[in-house]
Amino acid sequence: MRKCIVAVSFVVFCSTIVAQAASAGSGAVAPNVVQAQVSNGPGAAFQFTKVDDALLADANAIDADYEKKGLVLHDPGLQAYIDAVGKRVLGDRPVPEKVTYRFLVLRDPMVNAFALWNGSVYIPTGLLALLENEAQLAGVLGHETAHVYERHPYLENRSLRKKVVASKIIEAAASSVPGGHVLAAASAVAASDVSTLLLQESVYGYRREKESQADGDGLAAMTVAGYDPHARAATFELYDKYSTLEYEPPFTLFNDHPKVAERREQALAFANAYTPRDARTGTTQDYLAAVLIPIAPAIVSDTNTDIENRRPRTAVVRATRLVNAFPVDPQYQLLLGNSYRALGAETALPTKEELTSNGKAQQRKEVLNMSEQKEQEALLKTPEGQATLKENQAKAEKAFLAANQIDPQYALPYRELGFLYEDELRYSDAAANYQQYLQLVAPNNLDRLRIKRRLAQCLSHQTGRAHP
Amino acid sequence: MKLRRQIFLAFAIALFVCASASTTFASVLQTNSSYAQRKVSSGKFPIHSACMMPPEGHLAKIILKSMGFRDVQEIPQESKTWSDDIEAMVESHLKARGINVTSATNPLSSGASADAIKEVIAQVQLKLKAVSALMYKKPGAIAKSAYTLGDQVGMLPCSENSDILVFVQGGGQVFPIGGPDDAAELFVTMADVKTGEILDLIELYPGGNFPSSAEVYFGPDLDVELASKNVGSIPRKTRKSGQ
Repeated sequence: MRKCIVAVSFVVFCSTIVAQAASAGSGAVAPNVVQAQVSNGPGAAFQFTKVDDALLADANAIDADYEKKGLVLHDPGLQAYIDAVGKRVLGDRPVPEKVTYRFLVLRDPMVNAFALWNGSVYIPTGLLALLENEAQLAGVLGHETAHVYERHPYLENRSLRKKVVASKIIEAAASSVPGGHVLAAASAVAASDVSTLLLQESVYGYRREKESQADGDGLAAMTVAGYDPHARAATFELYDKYSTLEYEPPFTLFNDHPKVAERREQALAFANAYTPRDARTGTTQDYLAAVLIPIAPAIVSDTNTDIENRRPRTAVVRATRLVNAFPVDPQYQLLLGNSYRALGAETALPTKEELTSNGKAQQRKEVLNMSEQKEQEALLKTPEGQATLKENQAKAEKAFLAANQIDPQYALPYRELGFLYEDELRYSDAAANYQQYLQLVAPNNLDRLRIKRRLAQCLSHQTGRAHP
Repeated sequence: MKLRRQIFLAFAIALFVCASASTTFASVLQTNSSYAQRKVSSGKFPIHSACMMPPEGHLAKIILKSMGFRDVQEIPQESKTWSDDIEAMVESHLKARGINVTSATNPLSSGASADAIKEVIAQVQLKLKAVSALMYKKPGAIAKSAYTLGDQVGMLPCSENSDILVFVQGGGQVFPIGGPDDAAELFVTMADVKTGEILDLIELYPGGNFPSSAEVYFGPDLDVELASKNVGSIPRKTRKSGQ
């Protein structure tokens, strides 16, 4: 029954857009029509209860917890930029009762923004690093603020409280949370189970009708603010590409959550109907200057986390972004080299076979059942795997050598070259680089001991005798 | 249509009951287990010295609320005290088996600053966390050398004079009034301090009431596990005969 309602709503939504587009002419401006679609939410019709007030206190506790744990990134320049975009998207709409809109950058690798019901909108560094321009950021903020305007968390809370079974959902949800994500931090918050579940919904998505409503409201809000809504469709394309890079345990509380491709189609239909002639997107250069410079250290940290957590493809994507933006910084060349080395025999992008349902099942099996070493061993049994390894090693070497060339006194690329050459059984080259590294690092550097051990091993391989 | 709904509801209820029951039984029936590489138990990898990583103990207070909802409250002060307690307990049992114990935070002769050592410790702990996700699920693969922390563990000053790195991780839940639902578990992971290879994992689930003393709760079981693998310089037979 619900499927029928959703299908009918979708058809009505699309036909309305098509009809309006036809009447307005393709690409024509229809400001009044779009303005009318910007929702202010239920407004005074939403009356706070004791339960809602308790939930509000939980949101404030989550804010305080993130702040205390140093998860919120404070950079005046970046904050001013994000605040300006957020303010433009909010426009002159009245702020709902007990809401203070705050746009905050969260040090977290995930690519989902989320909003708490008190108006705190969190934009993770992982998402900021993926976006390409200001309009895409505006689209994200439009969607998240719409959830707050529409009071989705409060309404969801009231609905959940009626279901005892919710406590079981929480247990299931908690067990499938992937490591390194913000929920690990959120789980430590001394909030009620229901608000923890709500936080998970905020991050991973609400029910279909609420997500669709926020998509519609967000698109209208960004368009009224003067941004090109095509950017929202482009953001969904980015999400889609990103989501196929690695296997992630599927996490959604609702199986009717709209699919990215479907949301992209809706955004495109909206954009084709309503994009104003003078709509702005903002250049990638401007976006990079405003956003990427302040968050670069966080992206480095995220990339290293990816490498440690068997997400080398994501690491390559993030490091490539940094290298393209700052080609003469040896630190980012080093990061790119490390990312390619971590790939081993795995391709940098998923193969066609991996994108099939069988391929996805295989990938799932490998991640869930095989350790990193065993997975690499399995890949290396095929000629393709061996060829990919050589290709990735060549790319890693190129990046390390580039770092060396930019700054010959920078010690770390020598060490990483040593590791790489050891992998390739080039013991003489490895030993030379280890020696270079040991010359450059401080006498009390903790790494000396293990590199000396590795050096001794390389020398013993060369001479065929154990080296002291 | 109505019949299909009834069948679905019956199926859902049955599934819910089974899931609840299996969760309850699983927590009751969890037994101690340990997984080691053959080279450890055979004595090919003799363990005479250990480097102890800072313990990670986490206690949570469970408060029952109406309609089956539960609040989970952090109790950081109690967690800290308990962490120290489980670390001291593991350390004393290793020493009792003739193993020299050093702390990973000890700079020894490296001349490294405390901050630099802390940074390495944090890296190693993160790596263990990354490896643990699969290791706890498939601990049997430890015997096939499937897991490693990488040779970054060799950056710890204690790696110069130790054979193994020891991680002590505990978790427990306590109810305000106490009772049979109180429970705690202890994981002791041992890794080769030069290569980072995971050598041994001991999982203890003693069950029963959760007393304040880690020695009383975990001590006897830990002793059995360490003795069964010949860890340390005291031979298995000697331990068994109680000498």
